[in-house]
Amino acid sequence: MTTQKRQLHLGLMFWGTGTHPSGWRWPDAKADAAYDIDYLQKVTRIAEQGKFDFVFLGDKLATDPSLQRSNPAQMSRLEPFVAGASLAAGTSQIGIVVTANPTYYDPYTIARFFASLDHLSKGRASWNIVTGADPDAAGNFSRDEHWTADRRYDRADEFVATVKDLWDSWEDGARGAAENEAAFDPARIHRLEPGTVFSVAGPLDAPRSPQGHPVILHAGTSERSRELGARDADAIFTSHVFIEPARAYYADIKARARRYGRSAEDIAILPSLTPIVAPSTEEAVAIFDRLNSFLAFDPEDAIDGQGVFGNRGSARSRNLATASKVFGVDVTGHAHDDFVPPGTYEAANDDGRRLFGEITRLTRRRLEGGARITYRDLVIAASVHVPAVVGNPVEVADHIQHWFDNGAADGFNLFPAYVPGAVQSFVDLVVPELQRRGIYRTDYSGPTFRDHLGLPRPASRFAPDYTEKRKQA
Amino acid sequence: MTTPKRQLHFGLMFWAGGTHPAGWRWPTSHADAAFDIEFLQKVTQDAERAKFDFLFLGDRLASDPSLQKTNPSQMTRLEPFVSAASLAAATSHIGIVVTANPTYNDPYNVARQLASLDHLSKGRASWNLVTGADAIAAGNFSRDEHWDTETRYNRADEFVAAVRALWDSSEAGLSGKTHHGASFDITGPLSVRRPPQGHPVILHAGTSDRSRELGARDADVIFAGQGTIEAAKAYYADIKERARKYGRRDHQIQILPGLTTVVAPTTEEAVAIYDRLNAFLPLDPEAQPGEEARFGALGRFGRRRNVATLAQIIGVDLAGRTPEEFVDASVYEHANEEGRRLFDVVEKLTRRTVSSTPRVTYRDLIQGYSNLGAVVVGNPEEVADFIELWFNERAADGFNIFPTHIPDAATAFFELVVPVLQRRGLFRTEYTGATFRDHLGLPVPAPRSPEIRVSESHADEARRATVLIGAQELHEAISAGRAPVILDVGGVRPGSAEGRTDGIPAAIPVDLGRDFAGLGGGDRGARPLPDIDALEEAVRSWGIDDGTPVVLYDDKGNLQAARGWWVLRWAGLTNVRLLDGGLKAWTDAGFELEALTSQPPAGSVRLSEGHLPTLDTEAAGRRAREGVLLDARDAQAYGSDGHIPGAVSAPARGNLAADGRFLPTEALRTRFAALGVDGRKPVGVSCGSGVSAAHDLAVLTILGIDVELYVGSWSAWTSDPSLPRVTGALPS
Repeated sequence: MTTQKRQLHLGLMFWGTGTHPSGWRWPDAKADAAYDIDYLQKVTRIAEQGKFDFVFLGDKLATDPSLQRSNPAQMSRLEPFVAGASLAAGTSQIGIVVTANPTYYDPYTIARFFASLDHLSKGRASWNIVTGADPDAAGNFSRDEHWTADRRYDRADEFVATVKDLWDSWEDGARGAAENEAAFDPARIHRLEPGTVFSVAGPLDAPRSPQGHPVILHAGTSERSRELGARDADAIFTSHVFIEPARAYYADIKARARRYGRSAEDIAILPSLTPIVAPSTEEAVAIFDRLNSFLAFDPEDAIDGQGVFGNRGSARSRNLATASKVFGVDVTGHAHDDFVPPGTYEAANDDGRRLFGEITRLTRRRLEGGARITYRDLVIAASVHVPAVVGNPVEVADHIQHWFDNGAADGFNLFPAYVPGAVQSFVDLVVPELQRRGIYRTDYSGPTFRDHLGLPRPASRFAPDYTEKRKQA
Repeated sequence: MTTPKRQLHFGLMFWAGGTHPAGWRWPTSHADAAFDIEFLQKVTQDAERAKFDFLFLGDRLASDPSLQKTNPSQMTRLEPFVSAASLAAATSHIGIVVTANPTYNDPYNVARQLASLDHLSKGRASWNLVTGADAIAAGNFSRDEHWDTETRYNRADEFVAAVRALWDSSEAGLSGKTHHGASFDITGPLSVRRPPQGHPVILHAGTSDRSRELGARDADVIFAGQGTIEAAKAYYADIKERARKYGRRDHQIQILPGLTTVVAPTTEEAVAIYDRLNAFLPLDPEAQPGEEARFGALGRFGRRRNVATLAQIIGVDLAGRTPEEFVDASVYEHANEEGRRLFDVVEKLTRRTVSSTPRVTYRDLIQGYSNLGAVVVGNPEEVADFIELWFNERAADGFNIFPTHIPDAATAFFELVVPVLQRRGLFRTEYTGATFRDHLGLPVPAPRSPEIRVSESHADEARRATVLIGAQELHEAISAGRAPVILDVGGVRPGSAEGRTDGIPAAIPVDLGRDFAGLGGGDRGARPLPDIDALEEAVRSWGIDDGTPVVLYDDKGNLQAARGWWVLRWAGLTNVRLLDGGLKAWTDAGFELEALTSQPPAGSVRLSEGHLPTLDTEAAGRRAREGVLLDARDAQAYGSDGHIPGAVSAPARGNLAADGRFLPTEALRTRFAALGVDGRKPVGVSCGSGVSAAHDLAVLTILGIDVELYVGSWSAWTSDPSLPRVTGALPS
C-alpha cells in the first residue's frame, strides 16, 4: 500500500441563509434561499470549485414557529432527498449528504432512495443517519409518544444492517446483456433473511449502485451513537469548540472502530467549524462583530428557554443576567458597550475564564490595552455558540492544521456564517493556503464520494469471493 | 365565461426500456436506460418539446426476477422522487408525475416530498396515488400479510385528506392540529412552505368501486386501461358521474386511457415495427406443467402465450399447428364469438386476415390476446383518427402514451402524430402556463386552516347526527328498548292491494301523498303542504307524543322519506331523523325485516305549521335570479322538461354514494360549494313538487346552511303560462 500524505476532508453544512443565527440578516443573504433551487445549485458549485468532499443537507421532521426569530434557516426547508437529487443534477463531483431518520422510515424505502441517488449522481450519494432526538417529530407521524434513545438505536442498528444488505442484494454484474434474452442473472440477485425488528424479503428494485454502499455519516456523543458510528459510519461529525475534548472524542471513536476490525483511516472525524475569514485580521474581526451586532438582545427579565429568542438550539436568553450566570459574576446593570474591568476576570469561574480566552481568540480584544472587551462580548460569548475561527487566511489555515495535526480532526464540516459570502471567501482565501501546505487536494482524484474519502468500493456480501477477500484483508 | 375549445392532454408513460415487453431488445434501445439519468432527461426534454402535459414515473415497491423474460424494464428502476427532481432540473414546463403508495408511507413524508418537488420544479409536481395491489411489496415492509383492498383504501382515503391538510398547514396559520382521524394523527404544520400549485396535481387509476370513488373525489387526472372504445366510454361516463356527485365539473377531472402507439410514415412500416417487436417475444412452450408466467407491468398473471391457449380461447382444435403457420380460413369459420373478435382485433393491428396476402398467423393471434390496453398501429393520420374518435366519443380526454420502445417510439409519436393533432386544433402548440395545473386548466386551490377544517368537521358531524341515524345505531336503540317511532314511507300493511309489506320491525307504513301533502292542483302545485289538523291526527295515530323521537326511511334512497322528514319538522317536531341508506342499509347490515303490522296506541302531540321557511312562486323566481335556487330533479328533467330561469341543477340522487347512503359530509360540502352555495347568498330548493327538494334540503341542513323550500316547485311554476321556462343543461 502506498502511503499518500494524509489529506483534509471538507464538507459544507448547507443552511440556505447561513448557520450563524443572524446570517439571514447579512446584506447579501438571500431571504428565499431555502426554496430557490437555482441559488442552492450555485452555492453547491462554489463548494465544488473549492474541491469540497461534500455538501451536507440536514433535516428535521417538524417545524417550530419559535425558531423564526432565532434561526429561521432551520424552520423550513426542502425535503433533502429531492433537494439532493436536484443538486446532483447541477454538479458533477461533490458528494451529496442527505439526512434520513430510521425512526420514521422503512429500510426498503431508504435503501432505494440512496441507491437511486447514487445512480443519479454517479456515485456521490451519502446518508447522514440521525435517529431523531426532537420529540416534535413524533407528533407528525401518528406516534403516541417520542421513542427513547435505546428504542431508536435498537431500530437504527438493524435498520442500517438491513439497508446494507439491500444494497448488496444485487451483486455487481447481475445485469446481463440483451443478446442473452435474459436481462439479469438471477443467480446474482439475492433475498434477505428476516431480522428482529424488520422482515424484508428483498431484493432491492435497483442494481448495485456505483459506490456499492453510499457513504454513511453519523454524529453523536451518547454511548449508543458512538457505537453505531464506530461500526457503520464512514465519517463522523462532531461539534467540539475546544481541542482537548475533541482529541478525546477522536481517540475514542478510532479505538472503537478498531474493535470492529476497522482501521483508523476507515473513518474520518469532522468537527464543525465556522470560518470567518478576510484578507486581514481586522476585516475578519469586523465581520464577526457585525454579524453579532445583528443579534437583538432579550429583556433582562427573560427566562432561559422562554425568551423571544429561546429555542432548542440556543436556549439561553441573550442578556446580562445570562452572562452573570455563565461567568459567575454579577454583571447586570452595565451598559452593553462599556468596557469590562480586569477585576471581572479575577472574579469569574473556570467557565468564565475560559470564555474570556475565547473572546480574545475570536475578537483579539483584551481586558486591557487598545481593543477592550465589552459587556456585549460577554453576553454573546455566554449565549451564542458558534464554533468559529476568525482571522486572515493564514490564521484560519493554522487553526485547521493545528487540529488536523494533533489528533482532533481529519477535516471539518464547515458551517458558513452567511451564504454565499462565507463559502466564497473560504474557497477563495483559505483553500489555496491549505493546498499550498500540501494538506488539501488541488483536484478530485476520482468521481465518487468514496474516492474523495479514499475508501474502496465494498464487495457485495453475497458475492462468492466476499468471505475470501475479507480473510485476506 | 368563455369556454375554450376542449383540448387533448398527453402524458408519456416512461418505462426506460419501453412499455412493450420486448422493447428493451429493439436495436436502438439503450440497455442501461433506466439508470442513465442524462438519457432520461433527454427523453423528457423531447416530450416537453412536443408540449406533453406530463411525464409519468411509475413505481413498484419490489423487484421480481421472474419478470426478467417478460418485462425486465419493470424489474428495476430509479426511485421516482429523486428521478423526478433530476428530471425537473433539466426541464421547465412539463409536469412530472411521481408514483407514491400510502400503504407503505407516512403522510408527512409524502406531503413534504411532493411539496419540495413542487418548489424545485416551480409548480410541476404530481402524485400518482396507488395503494399497492401487488402483494409482493408487503414482504419488503415487514408486513405479515398483504392488506386487502378495503384496508388499503380506508388508509388511502384518509391519507389524501391528511396530505392536503399538510400542504395547507404552513399557509393557513400555525395553530391547530393539522389532521386527526382514524389512521393518522398529525400535529403539523409541514416543514415545507405551501407548494406553488397549492395542491400538486393528483392522479389515480383503478376500476374497483373504492378506487373509482377515490379518483372521482380526489384525482385531477384518471388513468384508464380499457382496450376497447365501448369499455372506455362506459368507464368515462361512470367516473364523470361519480365526480359530479362530489360537486366536481367534467373539466375538473381528465380521463386518460393508456394507449400504445405504433406509428410510422406509412401503414406498412408501422405494421412491420409491430411485427418485429412481437417477434422478439419468446412464446411459452406448448405443454409445460407448473405455474403461469408473470406477465405484464403489474405482475398480472397473463394467459400463456402458445397455440394450446389460443385454441382454448377461440374454441377450435389447433393440435399440431405451429405459431408461424398461416391460419386456415376454416379456423375463422369455426371460431367462437370471442375468437371472431380476436380476428377483428388482429386485423385492425396487422391488417392481416385469413384471406389477405400475406395471411394472418397463429403467432399474430397469440399476440392479439396478449396485448394490454388499447393499441393502435398505423400511419400518422390513422393514429390521429383513432385518438380523435376516442376524444370525440367521450371515451378519453387525452391519453397516457405507452411508447413500445425508447426513444424511437416516443420520438415517432412526437414528430409524426403531434403535428397532425395540432393541425386539427386538438392539441396545444404552446404551453399556456408554466405549472402542471395550468396545463390542465385548474386554478390553485385556496388553503383552509386547521381550525376551520376541524371546527367545520366537528360541527358537520354534530349536525349530521341530528339529521341522519345509521342502521347500526337504530338497531342498537331498538335492542336497548329506546326505539323511536319508525315511519316506513311507501310501505303498506299486509293485505293491501299492492306494495311492499315488509319493513323494519315495528315500523308504521305511511304514504307520501296521503300523509305528507294536501290536495294539489293549479298554483298550489301537485303536492302542497298538508292541512295541519289532518297531519296532527295522522301523526297522533302513529303513537307520537311531544318529544317522541321519529325516524323515517323508504326504499328509494330517502328521496321520498326526506319530504316526510321536512313536513314533520315544518309542523314543529324537532327530533326527526332519516335512516341513512334507507331500508337497504338495514338489510345490508344483516338485520331482519318483519311484516308491517304495528298498531301503536294513539299519541298526544300538538302540531302547528310554519316551523321551517318556505318560498312561494314569486319568491322562488326571485331567489333563482338573486340568490341560489337549486333544482333537485334529475338532470334529464331539468334539461328537457325545462326549469325556472337561473335555477341550478342539483339532482338529489347525487347526494348519495353507491350504497345508497349519504356521501361523506366533506364531499357534500364540496358538491354544494361547486353549485354556488357559498354560505353568503340565500339558498332555496325546488324540484317537481317539493319532494326530492327536501333531500337537498336535508343535506344543506347537515352543512349548517339556511335554506327555504319551494313546496309548489315546477308543478306550481308551470301552472302559470306567463312564467318563463328554460331548457338545456345550463341555468339560463
